[in-house]
Order: sequence, then C-alpha cells, then structure tokens
Amino acid sequence: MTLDGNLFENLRLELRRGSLVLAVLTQLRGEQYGYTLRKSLAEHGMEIDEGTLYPLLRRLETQGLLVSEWREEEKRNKRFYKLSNDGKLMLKQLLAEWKSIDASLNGILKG
Amino acid sequence: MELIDRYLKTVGGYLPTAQRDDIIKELSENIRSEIEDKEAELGRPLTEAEQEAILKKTGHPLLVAGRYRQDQRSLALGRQWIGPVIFPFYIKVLTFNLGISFTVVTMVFVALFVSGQAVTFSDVAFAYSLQLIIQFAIVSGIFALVEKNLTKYPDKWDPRKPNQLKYPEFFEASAAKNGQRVPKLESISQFIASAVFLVWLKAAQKSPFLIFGPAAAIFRLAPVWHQVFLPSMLIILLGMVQAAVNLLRPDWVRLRSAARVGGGAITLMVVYFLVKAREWVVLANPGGSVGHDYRHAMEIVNQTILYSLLSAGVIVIVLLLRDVWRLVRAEHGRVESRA
Repeated sequence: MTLDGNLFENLRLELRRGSLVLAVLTQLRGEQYGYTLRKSLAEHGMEIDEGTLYPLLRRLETQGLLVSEWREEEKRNKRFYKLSNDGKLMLKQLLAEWKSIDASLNGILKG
Repeated sequence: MELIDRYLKTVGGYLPTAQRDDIIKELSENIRSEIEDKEAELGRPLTEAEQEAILKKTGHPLLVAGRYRQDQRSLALGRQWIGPVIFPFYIKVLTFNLGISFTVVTMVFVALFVSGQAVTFSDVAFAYSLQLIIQFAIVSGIFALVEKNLTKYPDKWDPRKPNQLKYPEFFEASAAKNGQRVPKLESISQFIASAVFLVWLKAAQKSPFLIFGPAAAIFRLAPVWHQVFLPSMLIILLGMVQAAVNLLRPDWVRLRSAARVGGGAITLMVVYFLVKAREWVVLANPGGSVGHDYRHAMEIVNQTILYSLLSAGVIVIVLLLRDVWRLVRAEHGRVESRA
C-alpha cells in the first residue's frame, strides 16, 4: 500500500488550519502588525503564507476578535492589530478546548 | 519597486471599491517591510528576481484578492468551482436567465389557473425545476471554466510577464466609471448570458415544452414568433460579438454604445412587429375537441403577453434614448478633446 502524498498534504493543511486562528489570537495578546506577526509565528514553527494571514487578520477584526489602528512606526504608517475584549474571552475558551483535545488525544495515543 | 506596484495594482483590481485602498495600503506596507527586512539582512537592495520570489510567495493576485473578500460566497461541490471573485457576476447572470424563464413559465401557469384549468403542484414543480436545472447546469458550467482558466496553475504565474498582470482591467471600476473602458468581466458575463439565452431560444423553438412545460400539450407559439426568430438571434449575436470584441479591446467603449443603439433599434422593430400580430399563443390542436376553458386560458395568456410587450416597448424606447444620448455625448466629448 502506498501513502498518497496529496492526501497527506490535504490532511496536514486541514489540521494546521484549525490551529491557525488559535496561534494568531495567542500571538496578538501583544500588539503587532501583519509582517512582524507572520515573522514571529514563523519563528515558532508556524509558517503562514502572506496571502492567507493578512486576509485572516481582517476577518478576525470583522468578527470583533481583533482591533486595529494605523500608526506611524519608523517613519512608515502601519496597521497594528491586538486582541479585543471579546477576542481575549474567545482565546481563553479556545485554549481550554485546545487543552482538552490535547489531553484526549494523548489519552488515546497511550491506549 | 515597479514590480511591487504592478502586483498591488493587480490585486486591487479584484477588490471591491469600498475596501480597495485600505487593503492595498496595508498589503503594500507588509510587502515593503519584508523587502526592507531582507535588504537589511543581505546589506544590499533586492534584485528583481528576489522581489519576484516574495510576490510569488504572497500568492496569485486573484487568489489573494479572493481571500480578502468579506462575503466569501462561492460555489463549492466537493471542491470550489466558482470562487468569491467571479461569484457576484455568476449570480447576476444566473438570476437574469432564471428571471426570464421563470416569468414565461409563471405566465403560462397563471393563465391556466385563472381560466379554471387543473394545475397540479407536481406540474408546477416539474416545470420550475426543469428551468432551474437547465440554467444552473449551463451557467455554472461556463463560469466554472472561466474560474479554472483564471486560477489555472496558481503557483506557475510570472509577475514579470505583463500579460499575466492585466487582470485589473476586469474590474477597473474607476476607468469604467469614467467611461474609458468596458470592464472585462462585464463582457464575459454578457457573452455567457447571451450564449445561454441563444441556446435556450433555439431549443425552445423546437421544443415548446421548454416554455410551456406540461401545458405544451395545449398551447403552441403563434407563427409570428417564428418570423421574429431570426431578428432575435441577430440581436443576441450582435451583443455576443460586441462582448467578444470588448473582451479583447476594453478601450473600444464606443463600440458598446453603438451596439446597444443598434440592438435597441432592432429590438424596437421586433416588439412593434409582435404587437401588430395580436396573437402570440395558439392552441396546439385547434381542430380537436378542446374545451372552452382552454380557449379562455389562451386569451388570458395573449392578453398578458400584449401588456408585457407594451411595457417592453416603453422600456426599450427609454433605454434606446439613453444609449443614443450617451453615444452623442461621448462623440461630442471626443471632438472637444481633439479640439
């Protein structure tokens, strides 16, 4: 039996997609703009395409989980994002869920 | 930075006007920050190939813009067939075509019902479902091909090739607003809608069932429709040719205006010819033992068609006057700018 490479890639992306929002919300407990956020996520092993991350930030802002403001930094105007109050609450709930899934999966793996 | 600017312009071309400037400003900042970061790391300006690599990593302009769209509406069955960028145009064409076919079917059933004929739920459901399936299959199929073509090989696009960065013309809203060019997606939508309508018209000419549904056993189109069939085809073909030419030459705005005036004039003649006929639907078997009720239903259908034709005539005249006025104004502006 051969392992289907495409199938693995699809499942891997699906698995990562689920944790992407969690990673972004966690990282935005402190204020960041798009590029530095992408860099800091990559440094933690969470590589995200620009074309995926930047639209995701706007979507999370529309959903009320992030707030943003344009501000000058190093003589350039940048859009900074951070968690809103709703976002903080959502992150807390999602992290609890994540820990619960992690514990369950570990339990299943240990048999 | 010419490459970056062209890339941003391309992405912007796919975005809704209301959000465009803000998104592009942010995307521009992020891309330029990355470039500055890389330049600081290397201690020299980035080459064009290195800038190109950053853009390719950011993604195909069409796909990036699609992810930014707030509505994110798409047609997906197993996989995505029609993405968020062209979805609004797909819905527009589908609604237009369904609107026409549903109006005709409704007219027939209302007439049957009013004249006291037995109209069962299954007859109505079948007739509407048939129209829905036919239009959905054809329009979705054509738009899926457009989508496939636009997003073909998402990783194999080349930011340096100008022909791959011409997409803003599809949605060059500001240019279209100023009447400088015909948006390419408008031309594609018009071409598809006309092609589907043409196929439907040809099929309906041979099979009255497509128009009347189960009532095709009772009614037939009057001979006048066969007489106006060729001019009607000509109007549709004229629109298709204009859309195809404007797809290749979006700057030929006057062609669109001229085609609209020409098409409008022929449509007005067709409507006039139809109004004069006074009979548009006849009984399928006039010599047979049809009851008085069917004749009554036929009279109601014909009366409804008369009112529809008169309304259509008024609308065509108004649109024709508008198009003539626009054409004259455009010509006047052109002469003035030359002077």
